[in-house]
Amino acid sequence: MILKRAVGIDLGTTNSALAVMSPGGHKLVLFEDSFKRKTFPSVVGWHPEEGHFVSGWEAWNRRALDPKPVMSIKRRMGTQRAVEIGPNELKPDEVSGQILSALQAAAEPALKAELGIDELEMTDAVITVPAYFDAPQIEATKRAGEMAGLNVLSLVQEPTAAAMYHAWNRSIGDGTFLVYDLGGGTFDVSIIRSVTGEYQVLGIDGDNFLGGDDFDRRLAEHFRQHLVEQGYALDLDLNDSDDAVRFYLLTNLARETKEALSSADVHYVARRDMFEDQDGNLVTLEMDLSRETFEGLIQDLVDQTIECCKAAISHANEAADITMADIDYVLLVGGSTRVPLVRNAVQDQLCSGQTGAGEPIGDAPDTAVALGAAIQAANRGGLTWSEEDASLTVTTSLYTNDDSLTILGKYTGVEDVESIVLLDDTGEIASLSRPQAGDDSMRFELDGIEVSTRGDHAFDLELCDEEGDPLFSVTLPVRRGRDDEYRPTGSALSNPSVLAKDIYLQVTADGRADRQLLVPRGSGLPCSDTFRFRTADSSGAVILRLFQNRFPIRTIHLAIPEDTELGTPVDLNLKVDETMTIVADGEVAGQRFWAQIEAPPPAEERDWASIEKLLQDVEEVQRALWGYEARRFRQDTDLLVAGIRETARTDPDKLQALVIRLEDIVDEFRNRETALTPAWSRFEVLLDAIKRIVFRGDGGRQLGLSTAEWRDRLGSIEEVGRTAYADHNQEVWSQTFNQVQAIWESLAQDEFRFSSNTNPGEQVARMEGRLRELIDELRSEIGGFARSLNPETRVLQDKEIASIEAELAAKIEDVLDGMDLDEMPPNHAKPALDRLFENASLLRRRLERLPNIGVVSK
Amino acid sequence: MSNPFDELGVDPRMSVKELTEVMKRMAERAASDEERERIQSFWRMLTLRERDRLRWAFLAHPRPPAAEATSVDALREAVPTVPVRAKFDAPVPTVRDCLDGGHQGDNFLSPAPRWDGWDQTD
Repeated sequence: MILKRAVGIDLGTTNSALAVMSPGGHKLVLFEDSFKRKTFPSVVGWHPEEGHFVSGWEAWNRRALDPKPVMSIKRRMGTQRAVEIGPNELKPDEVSGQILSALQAAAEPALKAELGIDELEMTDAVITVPAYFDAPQIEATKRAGEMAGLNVLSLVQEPTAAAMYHAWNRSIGDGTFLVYDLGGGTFDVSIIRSVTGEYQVLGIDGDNFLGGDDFDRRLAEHFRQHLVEQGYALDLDLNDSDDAVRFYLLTNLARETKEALSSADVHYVARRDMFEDQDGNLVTLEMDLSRETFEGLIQDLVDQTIECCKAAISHANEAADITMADIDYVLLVGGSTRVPLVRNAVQDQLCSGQTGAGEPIGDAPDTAVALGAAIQAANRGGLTWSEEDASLTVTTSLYTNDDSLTILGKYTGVEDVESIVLLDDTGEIASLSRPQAGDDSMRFELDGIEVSTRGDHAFDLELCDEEGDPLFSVTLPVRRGRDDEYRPTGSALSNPSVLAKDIYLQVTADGRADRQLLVPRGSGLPCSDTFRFRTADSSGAVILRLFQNRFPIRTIHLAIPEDTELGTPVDLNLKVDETMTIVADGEVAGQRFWAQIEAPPPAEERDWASIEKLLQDVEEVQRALWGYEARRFRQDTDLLVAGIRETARTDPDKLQALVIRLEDIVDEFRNRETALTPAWSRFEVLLDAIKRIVFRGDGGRQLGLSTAEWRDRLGSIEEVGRTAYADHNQEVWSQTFNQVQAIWESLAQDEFRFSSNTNPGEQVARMEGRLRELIDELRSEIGGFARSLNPETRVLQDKEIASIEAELAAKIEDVLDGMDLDEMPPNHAKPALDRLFENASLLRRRLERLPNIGVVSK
Repeated sequence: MSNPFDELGVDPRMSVKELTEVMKRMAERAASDEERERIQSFWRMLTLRERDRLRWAFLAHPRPPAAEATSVDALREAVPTVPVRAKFDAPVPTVRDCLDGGHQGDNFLSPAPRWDGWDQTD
């Protein structure tokens, strides 16, 4: 008889790990190799002498040999960009398939030996994915599992798996977790709640291109600059294979240095004759590097992760009214959380009274995800015994810390079962007759099984025929733990996965492209919905273009007769299952369609010339915007532009991803087809905002106009704008847009300053509230400002920032704190607050000039 | 949108923890994936936000007080366990046996009165 137990696999960027729950449900067993190494490098190489692939440590050990092994393939998942491994060209999912296959093959004998079970089959698996992965990346991960010969029961998000492990390990039944998961290549943060051991994900945020590898690259770039100062020829271009190897070797050294600085304050970096520089001279690096210098290099990356944490809490607030104070535990997951700066940032910003959490929990950062996946695997797969044409699965855990146990299960076999008996060494302890037969299996439940003593119990379960003779018999390894040894595992009720990003469909409205939200982020999985659209032209085709955020995930192209009437219904059903697979089906003009999400066709890689052109476009769009629009655009693009300039030298994969993100933002503000700036969608957003204020029917005359006058005025502005947009007339379009923006900004100011239907005391209170918000906004903009990589400019910027911060405190915040607004007459308070608004406005202008500080003007 | 309390037949006065316990039992015993997914989705609706749960509870249709109703679990417990090896010797308990409070001593094991046809004497 074969025993089957599903395994949990953490398929990481740098390392992977595999674990399994013992059949008794009381012990998690992690795969360790013969050297007791708990992780398996996510590396695939080629053995040229023997002519086969090598993975894991074997591939890792070949990184100084030719052909070079492939690392960090997770960063390319969901794309079709093939990589060369020896004489082979493999797509990212195929490379990941190799890793999974090798890991499973290495783990199976080791785990069988550890559990002492020879006939153990471990081909079912739950694989983890970053919570912030897009649909094609998730699909690719699932395909990788299938290519490795695994039956993928489910995919679980990495932070959720980590929370499940820590809750299991620490007997936490109820609580809200913030899981901070900083891996080698990805950063995820999830807010997860456990209610009596059942999990629900409340909010997710993250960055698929932020991880410990970025720390290494920053440090490697620091080494390179130091070597250039020493006179070495190292103006590296990563598209050149020799330069790529040079930078790769620097990155390896950086990784070692980073690890050393996790425990030491200063590390002496010494490496003789590392490689030849571009002039053929052997390069030797010798320098003292302090932890403080290293932390200065990565500070902004760590700050970005904290911003993501705040965004995740904000999403959780939208979904479940969760605030910072509701967080009970902060979990640190991923090898990169060993960096002291990361731990300190989390401690200072999330665990120092802002939340209900004490010290961050950070044990098993490399393996918590795999261990949590093993819990979910046991939960999903149960425990199955099979022989020839029959199998029995127990779907509930056989572990209890109580004196009774419920056993639920199902039996599939050719012979009819008339009764089920449970026996211990004293005889029969429970039985069931006429079990509930389904279509292809028989379900049963044995409730209230007494487990009177602590420890292991071997109960025999017999499925009997009508004569009472056993047809199928197994021994159940039941265990009762201590009363305080509560082991929450989740059950069939848990919702361990949610949709991380919105799913949209591209639609047209008045001939312009627009997006319709189909499934909002945070929807618990599985989920499904039905939509009806209508044909908008007689082109003879219906194109359904699905996006996740702004990322295209599938285009469904259907040919329909050209004489199909305009407005013919297009029915679309969208289903996202538990493994996060998105399936769209539906009907149009009597034609049914079905489509699954797949990786988009390989995108053309942007060369540096097109990237320069994009950066120019950013500047042009920025010049065409002003006020709030300009601030929003800059907020969205500043970090990306800085990232692009940095990764051009250090990380080609990340460079491409950042360029695509920047293109999307530029497109949002400037329509690519018409090349008009700003885009129509921004015009609509502002018009809607104006209409919400002027047509709300509170009897107020906004800016002195009546509702009827507003209707006429907005109608004529919209008409002029529409005509200018249709004619591609940039001049009139700019004038109209500016007019709309000016109206909106005036209205917005009036809203909180001179609202006619509130008393003066309320006006003062609103002004104070707005001013405090403004102070927070300025602080956040200062904190999020991406400083120049050029050291001289950076010094200038740091100095200016320090001055702005000091003035913000002294000239605004301290003054505001010192004003007794409750006692002050409103006619005194309002002018005083106005002066503070002016000061804030001056500081904002200085902040806006920061990126160009020191730059000459015409 | 249907009210989860009405759909599932659970008591609107239950706390989040009690609801979770009850719905966990339901999900574990769901006959199909669709049924389980439906329960999961209801659980999410009732437990994500306190105000949503209260709103659904407020809108739930009145039902008999819990004291008057008997839970399915209690009814099941009332069904006596039939020793399997003796089952062919013993009569199968009837619904009435259960509703009358289960077997009463040896009466339970005595065979039910057999129907021997209409009384021909009438």
